[in-house]
Amino acid sequence: MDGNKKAFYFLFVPVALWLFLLIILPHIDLFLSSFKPNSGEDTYTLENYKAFFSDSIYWRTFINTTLYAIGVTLLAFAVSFPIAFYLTKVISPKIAGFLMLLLLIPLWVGELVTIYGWVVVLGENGVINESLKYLGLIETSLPLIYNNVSMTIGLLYMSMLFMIIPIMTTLESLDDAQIEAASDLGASKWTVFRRIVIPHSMPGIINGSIIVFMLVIGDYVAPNILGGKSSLWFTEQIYNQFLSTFNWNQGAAFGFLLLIISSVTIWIALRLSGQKLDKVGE
Amino acid sequence: MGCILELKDISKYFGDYVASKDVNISVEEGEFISILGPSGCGKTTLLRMIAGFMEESEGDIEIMGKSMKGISPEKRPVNIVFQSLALFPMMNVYENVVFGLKRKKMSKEESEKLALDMLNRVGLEGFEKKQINALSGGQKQRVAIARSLVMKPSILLLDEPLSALDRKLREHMKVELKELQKEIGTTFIYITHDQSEALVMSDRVAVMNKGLIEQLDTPYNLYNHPKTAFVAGFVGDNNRFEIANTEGEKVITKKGWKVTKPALDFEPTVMYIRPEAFLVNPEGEVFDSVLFDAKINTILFDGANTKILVKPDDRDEILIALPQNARFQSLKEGDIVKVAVAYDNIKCYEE
Repeated sequence: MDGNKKAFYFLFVPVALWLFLLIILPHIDLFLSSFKPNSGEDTYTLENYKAFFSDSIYWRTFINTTLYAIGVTLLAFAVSFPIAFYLTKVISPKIAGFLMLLLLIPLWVGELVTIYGWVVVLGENGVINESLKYLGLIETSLPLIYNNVSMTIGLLYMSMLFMIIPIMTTLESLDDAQIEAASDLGASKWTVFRRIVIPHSMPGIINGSIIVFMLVIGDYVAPNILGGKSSLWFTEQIYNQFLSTFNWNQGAAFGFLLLIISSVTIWIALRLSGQKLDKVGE
Repeated sequence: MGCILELKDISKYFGDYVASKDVNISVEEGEFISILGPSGCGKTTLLRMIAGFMEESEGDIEIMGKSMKGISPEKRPVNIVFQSLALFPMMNVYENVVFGLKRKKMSKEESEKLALDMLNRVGLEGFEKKQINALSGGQKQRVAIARSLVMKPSILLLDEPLSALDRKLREHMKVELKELQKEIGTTFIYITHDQSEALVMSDRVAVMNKGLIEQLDTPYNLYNHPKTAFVAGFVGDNNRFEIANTEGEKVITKKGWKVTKPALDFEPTVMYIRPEAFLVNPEGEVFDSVLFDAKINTILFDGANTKILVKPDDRDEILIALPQNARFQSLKEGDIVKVAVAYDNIKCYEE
C-alpha cells in the first residue's frame, strides 16, 4: 500500500464509520421499527402509517407545518436578500466583515438560548411590553408571544443566516460591471435586479432555501417555546409519540414521513425553478 | 459636423487624491478619440464620469449641447463597452444584444430586426442562440460592441476592450474596430494604455498623466511634435537623455555627451531623440545636423524593427532604428559608424 492509499483510508474510514454508525444504522433501525406494532409483537404492519391518515390531527398538522415552512422560507429569502446585497455590493468589505460577525453571534450561543432571548423580548412582562407600559402607551400587556407571529420571528431568526451566506457567496462573484452594463443599456433598477442580479444568484438562493426549509420544517425549539396553541408543529407530534405516549414505532413512522415530505418538497421546488441538484452551490 | 461632447474643466477628487484636473476636451461628431495614459492616470475615471457612473467634482459635461448634470447612466445617450465586457452569461448572444432594445418602447419585430442587423454587421450571423461562455475572446468582444452599438448611442465609450485578447487577435481587432467606426460613423471614445492602439485607430489622441491632459492632438503630431517630456517618453520609442548643464551652444548630458542645442527660450533638463531620427553612415553631405562617430555595441535583430545600440564616447547608450536596407546588412557589433541627427529632431524639455 503506498502512502497515498494509506492517507486515503486514514481519512475515509472515520467518515465512513461516522456515517454508518451514527446516521445510517439508526435510520435503518427507525425505518424497521416504523413498520412494527406498538404491542411489541415481532411482525410487520402498516398500522403506524395508517394511523397518520386516519386521524386528521396528524395529517392536518403535517400539511400546516409544510405550508408554514414554505412560507417561512420565502419570508427568509425576502428578508435575507437585501441584507446579502447590502453586505456584498453596497458597503465596504471592512464594515461588511464586522456586520457579518454580528450576524454570526446568535449562532454561537445556540438556538435554545436565542429563542429564550425572544421570550425575554416579546414576553408578557418582556422588554417591549414593559417599555410601552413605562411610556404610558398601553395599560395591559400586548399578546406578542405564543402565537404564529412570535413563532415565525423565532424560526426566521434562527434560519436567516443560512440563507444570507449562500446568497452572499453568489453575489460576491457577480461582476459589478454587469450591473453597470445593464443600467447603461437603459435598464431600470428593478430590471437590473430581476434580469441580472436574481438570475446570477439563483444557485445561492436555491441552496439557502433548501437549508432554511429543512431547518424550519425539522425545528422543535421555536414552535414549542414561541408558538401558541394553534401553531402545532409536526416535530411536536413526533416528540409526543416518543416521549408522551411512548409509542416509539408510531414516532418512527412520523419521522420518516417528515423525511419523505421534506425531500419531495425540495425536489418539486427544484423542478419548478428549473434547477438541478448537482448545480446547487456552484 | 458639430461638437457632440464637451468636457468643461472637469476635475474629480477622491479625498486628497486628484483623479482628474481641469480636463477640457471637445469631441466632434463622428470622431474617434483615444484617451491614452499609464494605469492610474485617471482615464477610466474620466470615462465613468462621461457614462454617468461617477459625478465630477467640478466642471460640466455636455453631450449635444445638453448638460449631463444629475442625469443617470440609463438616461444618457452614451453606451459603454466594459474592460471585462460584462456580457450577461445567463443569456445567449441574441438576448444580450436585444437587452437594451427591450428597455426602449419598440415593437418586437423592430428590435429583432435591429439586433439581427447588428449581429450581421459585426460578423456574428448564426451565433444568436450561442451561450456567451461558448464564444471565443474575439467573438465576445464583438457581442459586447454589438450590444452597445445597437442602442445607436451618440457616443460609444470603450474601456480598454482589447486588453484581454492575445496579441495577434488584438492587432486584428484594432483594424476591425477602426473600420467599423468609419462605416457606422458613431463617435468613439477609446480608453487605452497601449499607445499603438491609440495611434493606429484614432483621429485624435489625448495623452493623460496624473489626471492632466498633457496633449490632445493627432497621432502624427503626438509622435512628431510632442509638447511635453511625458508625451515624448510615453508615445513611441524614444531615447531619453538627462541634461546636466548647457555650455554656450551645446548641451551636456549627465553622462557627458555634448550635443549642439537647438534654439530654445528655456533651460532644458531632458532631451529626447527618436531611434529613427538617427541616420547611420549618411550618404552625401548632411546639413543642420549633429554628427558623431559611434561604436556598435549590440545589434537587436527583430525583422523590420531591427535596432542597434551605440555608445558615442563610451557614454550614453543610444537606440538607433536601422532602415531595412541591404546597405546595413553587413554591420557587425564593434563596427564604428558615422551617425547624424538633424537639429529638428532633437527635442528638449524642461521637466
